[in-house]
Amino acid sequence: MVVGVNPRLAEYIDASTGFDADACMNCGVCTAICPLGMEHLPRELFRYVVLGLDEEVRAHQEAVYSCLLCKLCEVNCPAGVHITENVRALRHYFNQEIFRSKRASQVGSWFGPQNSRDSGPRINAPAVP
Amino acid sequence: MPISTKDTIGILADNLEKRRSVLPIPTTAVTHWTEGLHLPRGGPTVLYTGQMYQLIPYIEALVAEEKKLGDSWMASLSGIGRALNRGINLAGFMGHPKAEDRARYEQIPRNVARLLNQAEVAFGSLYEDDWYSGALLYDLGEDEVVADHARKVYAMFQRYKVERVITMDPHTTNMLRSVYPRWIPNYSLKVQSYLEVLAERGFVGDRVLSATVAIHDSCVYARYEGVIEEPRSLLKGLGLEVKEPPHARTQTWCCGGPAESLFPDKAEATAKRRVEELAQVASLGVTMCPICWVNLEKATDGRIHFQDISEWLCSSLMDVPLTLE
Repeated sequence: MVVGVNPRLAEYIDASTGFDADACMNCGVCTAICPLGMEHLPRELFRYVVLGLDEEVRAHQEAVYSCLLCKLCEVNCPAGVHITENVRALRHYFNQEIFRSKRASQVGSWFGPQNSRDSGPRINAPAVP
Repeated sequence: MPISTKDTIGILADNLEKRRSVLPIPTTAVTHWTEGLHLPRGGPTVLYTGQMYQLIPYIEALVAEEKKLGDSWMASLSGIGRALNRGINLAGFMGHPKAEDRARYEQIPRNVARLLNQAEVAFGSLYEDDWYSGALLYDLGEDEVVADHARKVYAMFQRYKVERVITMDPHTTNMLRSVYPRWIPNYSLKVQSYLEVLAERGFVGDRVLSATVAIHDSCVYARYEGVIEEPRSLLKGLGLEVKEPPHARTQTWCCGGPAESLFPDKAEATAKRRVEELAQVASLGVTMCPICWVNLEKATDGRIHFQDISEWLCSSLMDVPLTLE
């Protein structure tokens, strides 16, 4: 499967927010315990970020904005991932579009003048479980 | 997604930048609770509402309006247009709360003032400078705008020579105590919820109450701020039997409220599940957050009656006029 990868995605999100999704072991406790029963958050979506699958991340904006930030997953996470801060980090990332003119230089320094979705090379990437 | 999330977040951010609140409400609505209390302006300790309880009836009025349109309350803002909102506070034209709803929510800060008075805590108010904390926009990930706002709020506290802030809801407590210090060097405010202050001072009422209540922990109090034992000790101190639902303390279940601004259907479904749990253990419920209160109340279907914890605590006081001079 050929997918678009932005190798700087996790780096960008991590730089501004302390995104620590790489600590996730993908055990699924968060998914099992979520009061909203969300499938995509946090483990799958975090994996997309770590792999630089920007299009997959953006395809799940509703899940990102739906999260209650109730922190139930976080207090039960065996890996101690800062899940709610990571979710806020993704929202912050999506919000860059709203404030693009204000933050053009900041975003540009990471992704160049073009949309971040087009900025990464296209390589073969493993499917996210 | 049923609405334009980006437009909505943009409008909320513009409002916070220009009008110091995501949903600006009239100044009289912010300060009306202080009427007749003769609280000093500012001073070393202030009781700070963060406008949270006062905002609820306005949000609910918007909800009632937007339901006619079949969307969330924020959709009614985003549909109008961000550009127009920059010039005019459009929220001011949309949804007017009923006087009785306003009175009900304004009563909570008055209750808290009365309880602190009973506990012999001296405090002032910032009146019209009691600003919204930025909690909703922070949750939406809009850190830059909220950080700017936080610096303005902090400067305002310094102008009034405030050293200690007593809050009355979990979201304002979290913002002022745990979030603002990340952005403000040498942050020196001491921030406590009134529940912590009352528990610390060993508050007891004038009379013993006899009832069984189900306690609903706020996610933010329980998991972000560690406020778990204080409400229990206060309620038990009144003589109440406090029943724990299946999910309680650090494992509490959300009321669904945080989803209401963008996804009202998800919020409602979550609230109904939580009501089921609480109704299993008692027919009276205690909340300690305005968002939990309004969301659970809307989902009760008559199964359980919710009251804010300050109402329970005030019920234990003799019915004497409040004097805070």
